[in-house]
Amino acid sequence: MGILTLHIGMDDIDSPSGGCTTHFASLLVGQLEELGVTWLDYPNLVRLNPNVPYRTRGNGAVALHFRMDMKHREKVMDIIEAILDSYVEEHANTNPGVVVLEDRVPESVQWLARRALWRVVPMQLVQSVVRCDSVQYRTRGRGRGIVGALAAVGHGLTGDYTFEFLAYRDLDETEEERGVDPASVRRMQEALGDQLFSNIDPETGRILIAPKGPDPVLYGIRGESPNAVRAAATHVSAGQEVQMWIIFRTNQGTGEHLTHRVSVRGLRPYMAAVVEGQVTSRPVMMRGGHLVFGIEDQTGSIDCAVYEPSGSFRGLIARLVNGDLIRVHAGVRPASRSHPMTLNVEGVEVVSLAEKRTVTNPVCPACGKRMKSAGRGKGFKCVRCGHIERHAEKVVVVERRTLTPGTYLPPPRAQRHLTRPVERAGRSNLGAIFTMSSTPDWHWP
Amino acid sequence: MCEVCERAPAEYQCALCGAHVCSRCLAGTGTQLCLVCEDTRCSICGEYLSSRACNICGRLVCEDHGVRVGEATYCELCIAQEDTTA
Repeated sequence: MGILTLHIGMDDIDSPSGGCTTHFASLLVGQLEELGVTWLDYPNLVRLNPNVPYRTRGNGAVALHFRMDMKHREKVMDIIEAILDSYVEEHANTNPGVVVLEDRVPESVQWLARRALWRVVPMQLVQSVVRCDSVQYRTRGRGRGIVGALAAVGHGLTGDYTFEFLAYRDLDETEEERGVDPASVRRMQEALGDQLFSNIDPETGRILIAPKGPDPVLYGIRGESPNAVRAAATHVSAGQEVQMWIIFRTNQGTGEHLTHRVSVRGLRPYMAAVVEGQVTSRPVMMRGGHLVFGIEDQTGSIDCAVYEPSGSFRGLIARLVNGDLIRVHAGVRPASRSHPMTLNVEGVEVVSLAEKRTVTNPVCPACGKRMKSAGRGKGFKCVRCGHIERHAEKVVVVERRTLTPGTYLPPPRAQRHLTRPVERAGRSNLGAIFTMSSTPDWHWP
Repeated sequence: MCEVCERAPAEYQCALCGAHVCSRCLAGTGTQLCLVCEDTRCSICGEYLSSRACNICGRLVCEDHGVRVGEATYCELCIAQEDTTA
């Protein structure tokens, strides 16, 4: 018998009341190992367009790439079916999809992956790819998970990437407190330094490794290498027992959803886009603490919104003035009855600053009091000492700007999984090779 | 080029999002909507695009027909149902 290369993709296995696609993948890893598979890569956790409306949480899909003896071919689908049946909770918003591809990943699937990073891919289009390329698949519910499942396989993490160590708790204890000790997370950060990112929010000191929902994830540690996240985990203590852990290679923290520069006219709902334009209406604080400002380019104008959870980021954005040239990194929020299509701001690059000018009346040369206009063409008059300056003119003052050109992001607690955080600016793992043999214990049990 | 599939020349414009699409990426429902808008429009009003799925029934709903409670979204129909049950 020959050797077969297989790629399994999966998505939308979580529901608002529990479950998790990465946890499902971890269980699948355990079962596939019993078939004696040879892993070609760490499990891939691929974050897709965070603006799609039907995501449950972070819009993450998983792909497994491995080789195995041809004789086990039929067993793979049997294993998938069995885990799907036992794992998936019936929920109206849980629409799992699992795909299995053999040998080379077709170009149509790779295209779909590129597309799913920043746009919405309609089901009908995905179904045509499935038909044309004879993809084997299993779905439950409406089966929308097949979109992310195919995209995860097609992605391949060929650009920049990072790692995440995910520890899981018992599925029967997902309603309990995780009890992750913040002091242990701070010790972890001190020990590993710049090998980790986005695990603590510097503004509030809040730890970001423990999710809030009733899912099986106990904690997740993000870092630059498998050895770093593995070492980091030894520092963390939690109130619940770790039942299983696994290291994923991922596109988190790479910013790769925001690589498309789009004009205002070219914007479409749910797009992840970078829009360059001049500020045309300065930021105004709305009810609820949201900040709204306007930009325009040669093709049109659009409102931009920075939401309350962005914390101090709003203070920086509030310093923008009309005429500033900026690049807005954003997700496109569709129009509703109450507002037009709007850019949900994920970050701002200030390209160049306009002069901030204020125009005032001149100061009285006799007493130092600011003068008032004496009437059209009559100069200025001092109301205190009566001095008149017939030929004086308004004074233009150029204010010093407290904002400088550069990239500004919300604090980590308000960032997307895909956002390239400040710690990763100018950093890339592209070209780096982390072989699986260098971290033999990449999962447990 | 079609903004949805990037494979065929665009012949139509979506009435909701303005995307230029080919005949295959225009939903065949007589609505002049592209496949993306057909997939994502509010399942209650059909007039606006959805913002999230309801945490109870899974319906996609727009901002006018869904209420955000923390990270969760509840549609108008499920809220009405809860009120009736209560």
